[in-house]
Amino acid sequence: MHEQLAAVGVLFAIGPGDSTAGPGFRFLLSVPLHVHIGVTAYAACNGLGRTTREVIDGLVSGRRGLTACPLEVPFAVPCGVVPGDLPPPPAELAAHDTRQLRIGLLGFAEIATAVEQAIHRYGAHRVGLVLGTSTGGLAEGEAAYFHWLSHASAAPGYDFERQHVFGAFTEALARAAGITGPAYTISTACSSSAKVFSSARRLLRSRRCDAVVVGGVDSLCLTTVRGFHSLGVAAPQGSRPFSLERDGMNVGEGAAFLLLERDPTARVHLAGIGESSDAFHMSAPHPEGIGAAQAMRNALADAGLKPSDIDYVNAHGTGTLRNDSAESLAILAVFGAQTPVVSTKSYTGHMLGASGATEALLCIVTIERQFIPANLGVAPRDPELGLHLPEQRMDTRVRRVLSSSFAFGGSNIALVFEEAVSP
Amino acid sequence: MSYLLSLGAWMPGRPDPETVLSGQCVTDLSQRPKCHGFSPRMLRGTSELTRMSANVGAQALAHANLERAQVPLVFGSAWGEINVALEQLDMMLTDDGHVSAVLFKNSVHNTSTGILSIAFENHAMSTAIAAGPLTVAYALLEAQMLLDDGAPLVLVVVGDESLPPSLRHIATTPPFGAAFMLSADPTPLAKARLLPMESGGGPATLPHAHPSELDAHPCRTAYSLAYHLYRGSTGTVSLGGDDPASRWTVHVAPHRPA
Repeated sequence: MHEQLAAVGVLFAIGPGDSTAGPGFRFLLSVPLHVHIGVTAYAACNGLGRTTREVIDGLVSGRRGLTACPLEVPFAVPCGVVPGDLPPPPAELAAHDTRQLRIGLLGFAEIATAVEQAIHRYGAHRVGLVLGTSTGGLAEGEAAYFHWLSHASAAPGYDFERQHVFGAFTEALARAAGITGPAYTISTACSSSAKVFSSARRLLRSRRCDAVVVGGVDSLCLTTVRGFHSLGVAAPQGSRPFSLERDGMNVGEGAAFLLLERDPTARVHLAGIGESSDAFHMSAPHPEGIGAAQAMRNALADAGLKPSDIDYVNAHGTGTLRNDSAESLAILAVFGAQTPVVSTKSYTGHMLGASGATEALLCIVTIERQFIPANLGVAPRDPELGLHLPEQRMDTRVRRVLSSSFAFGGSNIALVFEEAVSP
Repeated sequence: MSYLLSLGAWMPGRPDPETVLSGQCVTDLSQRPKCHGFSPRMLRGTSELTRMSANVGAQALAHANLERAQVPLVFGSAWGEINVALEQLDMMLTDDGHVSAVLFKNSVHNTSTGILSIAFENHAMSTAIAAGPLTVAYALLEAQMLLDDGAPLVLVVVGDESLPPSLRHIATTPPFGAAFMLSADPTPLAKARLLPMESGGGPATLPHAHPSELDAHPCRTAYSLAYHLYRGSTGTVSLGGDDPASRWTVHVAPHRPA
């Protein structure tokens, strides 16, 4: 079984038998054995700030980006909230207007120039867009449904197919960006915007695209804030992943975008991807972290790396008892107890469908700036977990980082980012 | 190139590909999708979409004798778990206002892949796609790229359930789901072959085959694809896209072993 699992993420050359001429010949596959997929631009906004710089400053300084939940919920809980007003979308996207899209447009604005340049280099139809979400425009869907219940008529101006459905914001952002290549949404709950890297790599390897914008966008909504509360995992004082005193997680909102190209000169590369399914339970991780460990091993094998090559692990690290316990077992099984482990969810909250891309971006920042972030609020550490959990920022050499994302449905993925070797 | 090993399909009253594609009702229209082999506990609080996806996925796996295989799963749905989402909102307005933990865990877009992976002890990767009327196209594209990337098999499951009453003004359509068991190699079970998908190409040469009751269904192109694969048609099938630039097509033909 493990051999078959590993095969999913491993590069294979395409044999001549696959390149049969026919109506599809324009997409003849030409897959080199190793493709350098570089990260050539990125941008983010979330509870740490409205700009990428504010987000990075928050990470470097060890600042929590959580605030009181602004939604009407019958309990007190902090959330990661994008600060300030969010401008409405341009008129041509007015029918798509949601808080999710506004957050997405705010984040995208910083990467727009790089995307325009990619479109100029390759052509709009050669640039793809693959975005993750777990909420879509659910916040507006909630309001519209409550209106329907009280008025027995559709909410004025509400457009289910342009606002609620999960594919809508990707369609809107593609239009905003002028992207006409493949554009679709991945929604695998909390692994959504890590899974987009896997789709993007396939688009690049198959030469269907020359550049792919990946990312994730989620906004706060009643369903997620109250849903995690119903599961008994909402942390009333803010999440403290891997702490002995951890008592849950906090929902956050935000957006992250990264531009991927086949570019060997990029400073940081996507070096490996590993995926697996727990096949255990819809919402609980396998208690021994077997699926999580398999995803990490698959990512290392895909990258051609040993566990000791990884300078630190960016954990999924939600702060719930069960996740952190199972994930610790997985990390120990793959890496042992010496590799530093960090969770950044205490900075941003758990941005669900936006967390994978956001954390990938933060990993890239740590490679560029050469530091390992602190685990906020981890003291006192849970001694039973047995992990190396830095309490302070470590200014140290960082060449490679493995970032994990796990989700409802037993969806696991690990990404490896690597500093490019100087010529 | 990929090969079709087996199909699954479900609509109300039509529990398998033959009845779905012939339009022949053989069971009560109110009968829910059967989920043999799935534990009732696991199915508690799941939507018709999830049960339908489990049903058609299980059909395709069974017809290809792959129930014990480790197979990557690609799920596609435009509307997703909308009925579970609204059921949770109803709960917020009643009693103590707490939402059900069972409903919450079943509200994610990838509930179907989670249920299928658990039922079949399938530890291979899975993904879940939403792309409006192009959902089927992108699900099939992901599957073809996974096969190109080295996966020997991929199971594609696509579907949408009927919209709830508050949204029926948008579209009234019965639920419909389909599954396609695809292989990278022409195994003895291979029935048809699919060439790599094209976008921005010429119009489809094979006609739409879906019944009029699915005119508003976002996954209706899966019906046409299944129909032409099942009938052994040769030609290109439209997978959606209103204008030539965004049009996706796939060329299909029966597979005849040498």
